[in-house]
Amino acid sequence: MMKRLIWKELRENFINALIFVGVILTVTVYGVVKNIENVKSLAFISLLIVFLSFLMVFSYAIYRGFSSIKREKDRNTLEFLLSLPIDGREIVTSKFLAFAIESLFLWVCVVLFSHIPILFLRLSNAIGGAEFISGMKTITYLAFHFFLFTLFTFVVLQFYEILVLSLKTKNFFVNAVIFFVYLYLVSEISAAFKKIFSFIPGEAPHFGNFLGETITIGGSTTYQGLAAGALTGVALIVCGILLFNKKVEV
Amino acid sequence: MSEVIKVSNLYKKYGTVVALHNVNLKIKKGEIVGICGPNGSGKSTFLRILSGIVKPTTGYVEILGGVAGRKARKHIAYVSENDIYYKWMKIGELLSFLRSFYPSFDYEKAKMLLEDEGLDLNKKVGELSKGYRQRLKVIMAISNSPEVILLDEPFSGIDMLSRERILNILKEFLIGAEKTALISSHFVEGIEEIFSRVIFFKEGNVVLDEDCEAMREKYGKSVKSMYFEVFGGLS
Repeated sequence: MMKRLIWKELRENFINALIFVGVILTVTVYGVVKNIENVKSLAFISLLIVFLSFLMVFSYAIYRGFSSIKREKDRNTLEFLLSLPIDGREIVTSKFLAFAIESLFLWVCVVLFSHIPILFLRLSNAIGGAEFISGMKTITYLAFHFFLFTLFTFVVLQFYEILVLSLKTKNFFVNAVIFFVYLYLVSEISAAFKKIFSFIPGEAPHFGNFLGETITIGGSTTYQGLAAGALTGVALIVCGILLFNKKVEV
Repeated sequence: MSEVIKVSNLYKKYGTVVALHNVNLKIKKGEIVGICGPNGSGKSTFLRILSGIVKPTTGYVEILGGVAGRKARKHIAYVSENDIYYKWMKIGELLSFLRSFYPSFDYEKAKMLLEDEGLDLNKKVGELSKGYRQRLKVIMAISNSPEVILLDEPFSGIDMLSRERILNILKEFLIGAEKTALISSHFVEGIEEIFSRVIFFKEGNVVLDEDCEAMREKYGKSVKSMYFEVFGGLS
């Protein structure tokens, strides 16, 4: 049953992921063609693709998280889903898993595409084997962290959406207050989770030589990524319970 | 006959609005019950609570020997008055989608009924007219061979032909099959023939609950006449 729900989600939304992939690929090819002679720029493009993709996927996660249940409610399809022999937890989980599959697909594409510029560098002997490996690791590491963070963003906003729908308030001022209090609580809980994972070393040695400079951003966010991943799981469970108990009226 | 639905002290409030007020009912297996009343009388809320989509504020609902919820929904079909199917889905996809949720879903029967009604499996739900969408909902509901079927305004806003076709599909499914049906409607003309019992809702209260035959004998009136007598000032 869960498979069917995930299929439904992917069937409905996967076209967006393909559009994103098209945009990322276009940016990659354009960046490589424009900077084919410039070694430093070409290496920088690899990282730029990852950060640019993060902005895009992050925006997409915001859109999907904010509209996952509300869109169903507005189209009356939430009534259809709730009339099936499933419960709210399955609906919420299937939406999350479908988003996770889409997001994973996007990040795998991002990692593959962002390797193209540094592959050019390696093939033209502009960088050595060690630098190439270092670059690949950096890109993959960053992408993995961003992948976890987009999942976290999706669930945090999905939870907020269900919370507001449960409270049944349409007052803009009340909604704004709830949103800021909610964001404050999320940041406090995130900080507590980060502490739990802070035993993991902040710096990873393989970042040392990429681009001939030390890149620390990936290393310092190791435990933040894991904290985001762990929090995602907790928020998802609470989302499902809220919907399961019919706090959201159809 | 055994009771398939038991409702006691049922209340439902939406904010400050009372949708249902102390509803107490028992419905037996095989009964075809007309839930009648004007708009906003609580009919839809009552059916939604029975289907487990909406939770009551207070009160107790038992359906097929258990609480109204996930388990019971395997043997219940709920037909909403709203367009609840995904408009982008093809009818064939919807069929496969629903089949995966109900072990007793009769795929071949559904296909046959859809073909009889001229519904092409490759057509998208959003491309259908209101009458066809309504027929589609009823076919999907009965293809699961449910023990209890809850139909919310199945004849509302559709043409005469679609109404007739839906009525025929329902008659074939219900008559002599020991299936229980609750059909809500804000008008009764043309459909009262299939009711074995009628329940009138007014402002969230049950104001009349009678066996159709007994009502005709007791008051010498049809369901339609009785409806106008009870709701005359409202409808």
